[in-house]
Amino acid sequence: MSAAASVPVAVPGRRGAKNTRRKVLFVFGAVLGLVLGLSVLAIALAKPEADAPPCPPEDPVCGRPPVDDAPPLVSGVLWKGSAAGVQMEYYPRIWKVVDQDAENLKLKLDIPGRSDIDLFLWVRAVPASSKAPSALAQERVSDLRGSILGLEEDTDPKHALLGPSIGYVDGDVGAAYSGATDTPQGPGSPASVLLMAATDGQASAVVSVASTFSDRHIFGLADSLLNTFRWPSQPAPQAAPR
Amino acid sequence: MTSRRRRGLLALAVAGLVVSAGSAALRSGGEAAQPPAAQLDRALGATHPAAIVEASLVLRREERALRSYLAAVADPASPRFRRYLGAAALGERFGPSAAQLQGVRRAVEAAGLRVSAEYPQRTALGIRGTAADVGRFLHTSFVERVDPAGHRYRVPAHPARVPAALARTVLAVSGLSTKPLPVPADVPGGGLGPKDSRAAYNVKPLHDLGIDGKGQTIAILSFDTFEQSDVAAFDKAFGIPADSPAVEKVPVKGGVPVPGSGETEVDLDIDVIRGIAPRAQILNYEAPNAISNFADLFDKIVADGRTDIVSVSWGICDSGFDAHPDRLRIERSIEAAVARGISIFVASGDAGAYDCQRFMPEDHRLTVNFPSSTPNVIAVGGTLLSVRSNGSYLEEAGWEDVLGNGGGGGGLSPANPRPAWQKDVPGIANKFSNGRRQVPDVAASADPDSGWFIVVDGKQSSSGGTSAAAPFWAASMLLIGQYAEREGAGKLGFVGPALYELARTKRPFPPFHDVTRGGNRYYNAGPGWDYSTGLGTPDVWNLARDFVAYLKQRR
Repeated sequence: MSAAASVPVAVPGRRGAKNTRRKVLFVFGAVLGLVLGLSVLAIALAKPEADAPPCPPEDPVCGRPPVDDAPPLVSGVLWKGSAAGVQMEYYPRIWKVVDQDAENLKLKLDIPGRSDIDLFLWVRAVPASSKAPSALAQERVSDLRGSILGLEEDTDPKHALLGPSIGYVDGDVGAAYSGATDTPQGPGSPASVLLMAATDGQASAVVSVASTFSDRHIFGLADSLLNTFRWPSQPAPQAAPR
Repeated sequence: MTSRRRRGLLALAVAGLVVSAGSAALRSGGEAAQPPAAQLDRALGATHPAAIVEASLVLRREERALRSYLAAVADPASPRFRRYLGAAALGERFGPSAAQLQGVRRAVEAAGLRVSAEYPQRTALGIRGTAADVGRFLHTSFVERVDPAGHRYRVPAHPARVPAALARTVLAVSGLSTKPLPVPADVPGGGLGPKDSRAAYNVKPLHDLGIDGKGQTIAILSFDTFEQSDVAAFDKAFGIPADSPAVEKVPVKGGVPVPGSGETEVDLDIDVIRGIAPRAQILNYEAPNAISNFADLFDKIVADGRTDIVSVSWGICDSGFDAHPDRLRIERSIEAAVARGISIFVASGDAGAYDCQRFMPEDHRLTVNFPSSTPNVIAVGGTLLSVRSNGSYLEEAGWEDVLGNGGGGGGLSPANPRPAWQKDVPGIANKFSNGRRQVPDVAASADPDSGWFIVVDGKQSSSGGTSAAAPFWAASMLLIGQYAEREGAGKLGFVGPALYELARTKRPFPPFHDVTRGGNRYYNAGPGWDYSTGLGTPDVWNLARDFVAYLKQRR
């Protein structure tokens, strides 16, 4: 009996109780799930927006503002040194061409009403395979000695040329020189020369700027041109739809 | 390369002499401390005993507590992040007590002097009296000198000393030299009218939304003054609305009665701001040209509490000045500004990586410009800007004019450590890094070939230099602040940390044009941060939208 009594017997009342427990468990689970869900939602809503992803190391620019594709504004005259694939912009309002060909551009500053100011700029560019910057610089010094007497390197630290560069490519050569203009009567006015030579690996270029003007800040006027110098390796600005 | 550029007349030769070097914290630099260049000046004899002399007593403060506070307001992880203090609260919390201040006042008056300036942030106490009385009080005497340009000035004959009884409240004495030193960072050039700069840097969308500076205030720190007629002429020439607020002069230390050699600089600052934020109220805080007046100008701006944006286009070569009491005084005034939530945009100088060369052509040391080299400002470098035929942005190069010795200032501070927020952006840790402050933080058009149109003495001209770039950034940030307020994002506060954070992560609206060409005669521009252009130049509309998101995220 006891064994028989120990056998579980399906009793309607007990079965109902089990169902109730299941229902309670189900409701509890549902409520718990709801509470957890709401909690997760609340946390998600309250949580500050996650930080933007850091810039990947391979993309140091980390996004650029979009720009449109209108053509670049050209306000000067473009000289193309076809021998080496370089180009430079100058402003005919104040610069007059003395001579030009596929390798050379010689300009003279000509500011209306300021005949006392003289400044000569001479650019030469050749394929890098044909001449190194140092060779171009040596040739230029020899050429200049034909018109400037006693041309020697100027070692006065006040006249030093710091950080030489052409078209934002660091110069291999950069130096100041001084001499005197050659006149029929012999040495004339003191003349100063700044000389730089550089290469981008595809072209080599040399630039000399000469003046007899006493204020050396005059040389700064040539910076406007040299900063427009574009080497064959320098890509044109990219355009992207805004 | 093709670009928009119109070359103006010759670059100005700016000659000057380096600042006197100090010796110890409790001293004021005396005549004996002058570097060799200053010895070129000529002594005129002792100052007349009855001549009026002014000085500043630099007050001690709760140094560690203030340092900790300044770090916390710049740290996004801190509960005190961006919780700035008012000037009075700052003074009460970190400055000497009211009783200590009263003690100093009594001692000053007992010496026959009077207190001439006092600020609620308690950075310093100005004193004034005869040369005899001030000399007795500070244990020194004074001599008159004249520099090669004919400027007469006064310096202490030997280092001043703080009276022993005040040593617990007063840290140092500054402002005893009246030698004119800060020089403007501008150069003549040609190019950008207001419409050009708004188009190139994408300011226009903000203007289209009515964000034009209305109801906003911006301060210019000046060592000269301007003519209202020049502002009116600029407004007329460039279509600035007729109902824009008149520029207000705020004199400090007596102000500047008539325009002098720095007038062009003041006009440049005003006109650049006017072009970007035409309806903003501009306050020109102006003081006589003396190094110590930097601090009084900053103190007055902080004490007045009228603006959160300041533009500075003046500076000196940062060399031999590390421990000078005037530097200490200036840096404390700037720190008070940061604690108050003010952003100070400072021109980084116009001699490239060789800032002291502007003062002495034979000085080839790598040097930077002060106060752009201090860690609590936003240093603004320079570029050459090129635009497209429709006026929109084409490209930029770091400003370097190697033949004319020009370029945007940049390099390493000789004295200040790198601020905690100047980190974690590509390029910031580089082969030159040495733990010191690296400048600049950002840049904008400064090469004279892409200079800014201005009106001086009734005539239109143009001018470049980083002193155009600094007010451009200040005015742009003012617009961004106005936009942020309108969007319910709150105030900008000191924006240095935010600029780096925005550059650190990819943004839906890329805020910076990264300048990768050019340099500054020594350091080349390159991908990421560099010593020529910092983080780069702004797309102002993008930066505005990013700033709003940034501020909302951190409220």
